[in-house]
Amino acid sequence: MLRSLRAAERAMNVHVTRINALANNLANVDAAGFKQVLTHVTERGATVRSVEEPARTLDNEPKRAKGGTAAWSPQRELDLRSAIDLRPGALRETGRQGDLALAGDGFFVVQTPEGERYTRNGRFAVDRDGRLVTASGAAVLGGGGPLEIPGGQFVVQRDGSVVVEGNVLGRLQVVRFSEPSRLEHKGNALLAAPRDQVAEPMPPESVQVVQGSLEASNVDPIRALVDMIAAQRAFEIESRVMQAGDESLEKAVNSLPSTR
Amino acid sequence: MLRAMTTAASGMKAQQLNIDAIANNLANVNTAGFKKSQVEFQDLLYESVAPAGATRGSGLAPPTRVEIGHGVKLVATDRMFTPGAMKQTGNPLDLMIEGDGFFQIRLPDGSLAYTRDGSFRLDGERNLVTAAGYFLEPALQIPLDATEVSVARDGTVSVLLAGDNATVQDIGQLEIVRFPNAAGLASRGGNLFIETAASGAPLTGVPGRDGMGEVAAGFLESSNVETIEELVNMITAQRAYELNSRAISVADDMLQTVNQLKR
Repeated sequence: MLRSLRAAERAMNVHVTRINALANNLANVDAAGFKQVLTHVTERGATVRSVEEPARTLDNEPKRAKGGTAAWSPQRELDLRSAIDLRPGALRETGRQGDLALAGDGFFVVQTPEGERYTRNGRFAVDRDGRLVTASGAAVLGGGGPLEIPGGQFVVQRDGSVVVEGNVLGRLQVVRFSEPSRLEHKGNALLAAPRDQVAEPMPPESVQVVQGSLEASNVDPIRALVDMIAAQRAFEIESRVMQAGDESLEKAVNSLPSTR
Repeated sequence: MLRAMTTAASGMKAQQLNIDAIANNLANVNTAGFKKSQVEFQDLLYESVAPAGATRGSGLAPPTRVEIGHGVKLVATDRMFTPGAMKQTGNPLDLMIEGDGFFQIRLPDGSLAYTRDGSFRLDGERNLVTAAGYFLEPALQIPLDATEVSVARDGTVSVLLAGDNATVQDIGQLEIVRFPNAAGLASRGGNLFIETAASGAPLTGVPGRDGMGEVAAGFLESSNVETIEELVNMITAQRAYELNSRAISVADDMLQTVNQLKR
């Protein structure tokens, strides 16, 4: 009984964690360049772990293993798998010259105090010192460091080159990874790469920067809601298991005649 | 579950602020020289958790960690300095800057403000003032005997003096300013912006030179709010708000389930 209570408790915790992840996706349904986190629940090690035999028979003699299968209890462990969903969001035209979107693969590179970060959120602006920065003030990197843009007007070409009055000032750095699904969310629309992932600059011909547009969040609200309903109902089912375990325990404790 | 509730609450709060910005844009759809605002959202910190249920079984792989975010926050409300449409009024003192630049306005306390609203008029002493009565900077006064005023594309103000020999005389030069980062200007209300650390110091110039726009007299710049865009944004904001409220009610139901476990 206790085992069923513990199993239900672990399962309920898994569903709660899943709901937390889904709620974060829904909260960010409007955040530009946001990449949703997909979750699904799997069973780990759903194999017969041991053949369960009662320790003693009814005659109170130690039982010899006879090699037959009596009762078996599969050790079912729930596991929550998550993966970042890198499918592109829709492109939304804004008309603002600092809004950049990547129509193909790749990430913009941003310099933060904690190191290099990567993002698909291209809402950039020129700050008072002429540097191209994100909405939170982090510098956007070009080939040779932060991009400096004097004056007001600038044009960003398809390959990421920044042109002011006919002169090419530099090129936005757009990188890709061999295993982009291992990137981690760091908040502020930034992603970090694990140590072993090297940011590889994309060749200019495969870069597709669209100026005047932003990439919308790729959260699929229908999927998120359906998953949320499924998690809630699974949670309720586990709570029933827990109730059943509780009732059995109660019977065992209070209603069975005492043994001599 | 509690985390899901606070996460979803941050989502609802963000959409509320979004609706506030949209409503302000819509309210100013007919304000001359108005520049619309758009909000920018970003996600909050993430925490890497191993779900409490996934334990390390014998011979099984260690539990995989899931990144859980804490919701969303409003990071910036950007003023979109895209140009508004030209509205012809025929009033020679209605000025519009075609291109970059702001008119400078001297406020009563001596500080400077900036505006795209060029609906000027004359006060009692024939000074050129805004609709609210603030002086244009540098100040300009129209002589009493002037019958017509005209402002050229490069900002030179000339008047037609009355008399038998009607002469045209230049009486002044308009100056306009540009900022390194116009989006960093703070709104003061009354169609006025003021300089901030984020906007940088203003660069003064003459219309038509150094990247400054030219002056079009007899026109006013309309608000750059596009009603269809704002309505679509309002619909998405409302639906996002509803989605987040759904997340809260699911979390609430689950908490209720837990509460009812032990009767």
